Amino acid sequence: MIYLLHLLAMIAIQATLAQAAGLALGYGGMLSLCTSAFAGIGAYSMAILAMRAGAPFWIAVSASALLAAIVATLVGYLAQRLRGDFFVMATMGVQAVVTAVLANWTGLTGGVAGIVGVPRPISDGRGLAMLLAGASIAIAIFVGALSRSAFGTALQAVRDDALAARAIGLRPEYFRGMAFGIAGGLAALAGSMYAVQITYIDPTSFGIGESVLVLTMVILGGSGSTTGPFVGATLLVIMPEVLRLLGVPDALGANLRQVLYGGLLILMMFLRPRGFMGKYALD
Amino acid sequence: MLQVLANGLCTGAVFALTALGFALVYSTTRVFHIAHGASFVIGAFAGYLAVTRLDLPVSVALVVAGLTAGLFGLVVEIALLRPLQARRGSSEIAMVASLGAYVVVANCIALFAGNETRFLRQSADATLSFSGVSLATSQVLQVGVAGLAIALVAWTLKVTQIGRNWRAIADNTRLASLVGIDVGRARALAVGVGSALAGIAGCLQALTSGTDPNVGFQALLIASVAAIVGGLRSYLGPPLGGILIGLLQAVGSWYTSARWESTFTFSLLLITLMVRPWGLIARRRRLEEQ
Repeated sequence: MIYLLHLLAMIAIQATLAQAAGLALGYGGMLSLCTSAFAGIGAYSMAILAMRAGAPFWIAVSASALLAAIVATLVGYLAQRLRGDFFVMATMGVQAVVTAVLANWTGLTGGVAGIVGVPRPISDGRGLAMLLAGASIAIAIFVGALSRSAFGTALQAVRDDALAARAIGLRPEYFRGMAFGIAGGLAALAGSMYAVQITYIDPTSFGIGESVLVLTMVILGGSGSTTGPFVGATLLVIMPEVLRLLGVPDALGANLRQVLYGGLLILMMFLRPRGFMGKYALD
Repeated sequence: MLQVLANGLCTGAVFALTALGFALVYSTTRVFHIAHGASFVIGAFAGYLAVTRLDLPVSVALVVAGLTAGLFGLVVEIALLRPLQARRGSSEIAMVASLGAYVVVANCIALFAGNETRFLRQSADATLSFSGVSLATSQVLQVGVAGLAIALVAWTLKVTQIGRNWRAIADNTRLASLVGIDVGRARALAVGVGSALAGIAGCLQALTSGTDPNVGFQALLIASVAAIVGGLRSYLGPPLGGILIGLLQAVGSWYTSARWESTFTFSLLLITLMVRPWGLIARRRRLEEQ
């Protein structure tokens, strides 16, 4: 039962990350490989605010999400100068820098040892899993509502044709930058969710591999839909467990899993580039 | 200080080689080729196997590394990039597939070889001194081989018909095919050569700092930053950017700590993007030309 609750919590966390990346990709047309960097900023600043500064839990969570959103807005705004593929590379650069800061600013982040004993808002495991699941659903509803709002439709207009959008008075930089910022804030919330579920954070939990994993979820599940991230996250959280049940040793499991993820990405590109539930195809 | 700069030049030479390969692939296919990092690792491990298992000399190992990585590049081009682009004309889909290929290759190598760092040479090699600067022979080899390969590619691009075809495709693919250039073959060749350069660079890096299955990603990042900083539209730009990054990392980690290397690299990228987004060398283009 504890095991199932843990799986549920992990699906909720990963689905929230995928929701954030899906917002940037599906509605903004921005393929990001630094989702887990913002999750890292969120998790670390939440933990530091709550543990060192003694801030109440909810204030620490909100402040960390706000901080990540501000950083992400700046990144999104600056990286607009790069078209398409090179935007992706800039996000990889952000990911590399954030990982370096988390691992090397030992005084603040604890370095590679990480931070142990992140406080939980609810000590009971069942309640916490329910809280995380609820949060991920609430965030999905928020993203859905955002995509239908005036901001969301303008964002999709910018995605489909930036020049035409500019011609009717929408500034592509503004909408893309804001959307990237919101996605960063959501990723930070997912980071906080991870921190309270595991109660231990270290730089490897927020590396480039995690960002690739999130992208895989978004692409599998499909971007531009609210249900897609849940499908992608469920598939990718369950898959390692299935491998374990099949008796693949853990030492090989990590690499074998990655091989499967990579193969899945290639396969999806050939068969269904928009993902299982997606409406928006990469182009 | 001179010593620091010399060391920076040696690592920069490896970056330069990778960056040139990356630019070659990018300019002909328009794909942000993440699996270029995989070519780098394949070269490194092919060289490692050639030296440690087959007892081949380093010079032969470099050739083996280049050939293996070039072959891998060809396979990726023919099996992934070309069909995906032909079907949808989309470079982003090809990029995600390329990412998938990188993940598969890096982890397959890890499955068979393990994640530990491996060194091509067990013994420390001899050092040479030039007026106060001492370099290991493998460092000199890095600069020499990289310089030679870059010169060879530059010559190909400037003088030969193949190079002219590559430049024509980079400029305007459709127009190139209209004037009778076999775009498919020229592209495949460019990807093969570009990947071979990455493979040789991987092997060269393995000579001095060792290799593990995950070095490819860092190499790819640096190569792409170097290509942007130098200017993707020129062929001298990316190698120049690579050398610049090598020097910057060496000087930067001299003053602070080697742990901040990637931070220096990406600050350089940020500054370039803000000040000179079209790169150091390439001239500015009108919007319509892009």
